Amino acid sequence: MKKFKILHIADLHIRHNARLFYSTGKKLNNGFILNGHNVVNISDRDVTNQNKNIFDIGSRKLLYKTIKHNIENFKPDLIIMGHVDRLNYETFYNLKKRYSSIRFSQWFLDPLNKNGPDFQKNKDRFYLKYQFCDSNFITTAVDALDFVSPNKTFFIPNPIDSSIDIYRNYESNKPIDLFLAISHGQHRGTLKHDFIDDRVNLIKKISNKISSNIFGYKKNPVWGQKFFDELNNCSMALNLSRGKPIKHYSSDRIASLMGNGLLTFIHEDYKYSDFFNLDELVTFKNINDLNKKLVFFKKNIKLQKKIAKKGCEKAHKIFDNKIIADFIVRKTMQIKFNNKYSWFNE
Amino acid sequence: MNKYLIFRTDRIGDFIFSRVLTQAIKKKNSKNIIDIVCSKYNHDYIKKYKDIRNIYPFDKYDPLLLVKNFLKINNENYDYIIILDGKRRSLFYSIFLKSKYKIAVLKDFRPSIFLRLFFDKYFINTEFNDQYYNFSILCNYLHLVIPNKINYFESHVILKDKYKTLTKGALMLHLDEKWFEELYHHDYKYMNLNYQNFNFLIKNIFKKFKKNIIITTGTRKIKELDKIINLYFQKKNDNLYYSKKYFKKLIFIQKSSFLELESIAKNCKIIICCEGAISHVSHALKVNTIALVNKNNLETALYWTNHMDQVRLVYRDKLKEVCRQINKVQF
Repeated sequence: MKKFKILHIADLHIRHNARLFYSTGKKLNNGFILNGHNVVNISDRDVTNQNKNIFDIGSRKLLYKTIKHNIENFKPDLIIMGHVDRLNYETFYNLKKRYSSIRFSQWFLDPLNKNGPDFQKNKDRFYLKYQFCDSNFITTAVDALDFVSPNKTFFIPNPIDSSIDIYRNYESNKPIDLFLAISHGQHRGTLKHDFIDDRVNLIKKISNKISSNIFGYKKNPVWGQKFFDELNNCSMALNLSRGKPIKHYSSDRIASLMGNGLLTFIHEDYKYSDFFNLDELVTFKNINDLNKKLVFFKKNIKLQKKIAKKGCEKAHKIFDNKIIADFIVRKTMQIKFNNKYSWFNE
Repeated sequence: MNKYLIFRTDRIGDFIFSRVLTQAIKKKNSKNIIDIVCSKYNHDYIKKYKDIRNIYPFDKYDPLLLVKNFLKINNENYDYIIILDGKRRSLFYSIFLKSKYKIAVLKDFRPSIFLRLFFDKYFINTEFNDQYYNFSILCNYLHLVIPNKINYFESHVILKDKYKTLTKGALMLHLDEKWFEELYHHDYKYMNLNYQNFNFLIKNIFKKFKKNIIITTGTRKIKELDKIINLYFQKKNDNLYYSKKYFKKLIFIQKSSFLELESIAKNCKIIICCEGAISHVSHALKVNTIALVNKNNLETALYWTNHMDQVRLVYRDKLKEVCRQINKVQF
């Protein structure tokens, strides 16, 4: 395949000083580069954060100017955008009109779930660029949503990066059984006061027969290498996302859990059984079922390691950042994709 | 139950396409009320749609009518006012109207201050995507689900074709003003159709499709067509003419209303026309259609026709070239 010039506009968290070095934006960026494309980055939120001006509130003009200059100098074949929320609708229209020969694309990771958190807000953010993008990539199954066109919108899983997700927890015995990490927003980093998180109800009911390493409930979440150090102490992990389950959606944490070899538990309504077999991932129906299975796998370490290993290998194979990056580029440039994976919705 | 007022003061083709929105509104709740502000010209046509309750004809040169309609509209307390035509006259008129929610579909973002002040939501009807895609976005803003299958003629009764015996299974050649230079956009390419090369076009169509030909026109007077009628046709009744050479195989139905054109189109097997309201009707009626479009405005043509699976595009050009392209068309 031809190598393209890609302008990737996404938050690369420079201002967070490597606290989020494993972010999805970075993993996708690595994927584009590893696939041999020529990639230039604009970390939009770092741009808007570095310069405060009372005549340019939110640094919108600065960001627009930065993008324009980058396009003029680099002349990209395609522009891939992450959650670029600082630009408004008219600015996106102007960009598309001005550079109509360039293909535009966006990836969007937040839940688009009517029964989930911030539905209207997330939908509006997604829709901001939707009309001007030749392709859109979301982490919820397209057929579970009635407001996106399946011709221009495609599902992508949360990517695993083999240079970031390097641990293989199933290879040794771990001191703690369960790893669980939630947060009230990764940019914020700390827990909000008086914030009601629906996941807490389930966390409170987790059996005390299980030793656990829980962050984001009572304890502040952990970030950076500390996140991996804590995760590396555990053999199993519970993947919890806010709101009612919706087909194929998960927070990006699942990539860290499965990608680092923890036996991962997920609610069956997310339908991850479409991607993984029973001997690769554990699904549960409700809290009783979860507790039963946690206790079972705590006792059956051999089986626990076997499933974790198979799940990790499969996840690295099908959720690989290079594959997902390739999918994004091919779909946007309308190039046929020969490989078939269970998550493609063609 | 919600009350919607839709501004669609442009051409019939635009209104026909907007049926996706009215259908979506009715699909959400059959008790929803839809009223339309339209041009005086389209008033009679839109009146035939049963799911449209009130029609307010709009004429910017008729201040009395504007005031009368203004008072009527403001008494209705609409939930939604939707500007679909993107015309400034509609934007300005609507800012004085009462409604809970105002949304505008625009051609550009001017006047931006008005838009920001008076509209809850606005978005551009861009040609980056086809119309259907843009309407799906509009439906989303309105929390409506756009129908997958566009049934423009739901709630609409098509007139009986009084020439049914002549038109059944024929080819309809719609010669409106878009065929003739100086009667439409000056920057369009024209087919230089005239009384001298008219026979060339007809012979080509006969040869390619082997069907009777029904020539139709709009209500506008076109001098070149009068010449053609005088030379090649003989009058049968009011607006019906038979060919002097081909008799019933080539007939001319002059000055038909849009409702009459619709009924003729329904009976025909193939339609040849310039892209516009007729191609929207033919798409709705699922009749194979050759639509003439401007090559330089292909983006615009695709914006209108991309979703029409039985429409084939032919570029506007000299008549000889148009005939050559028509000969290559496959359905």
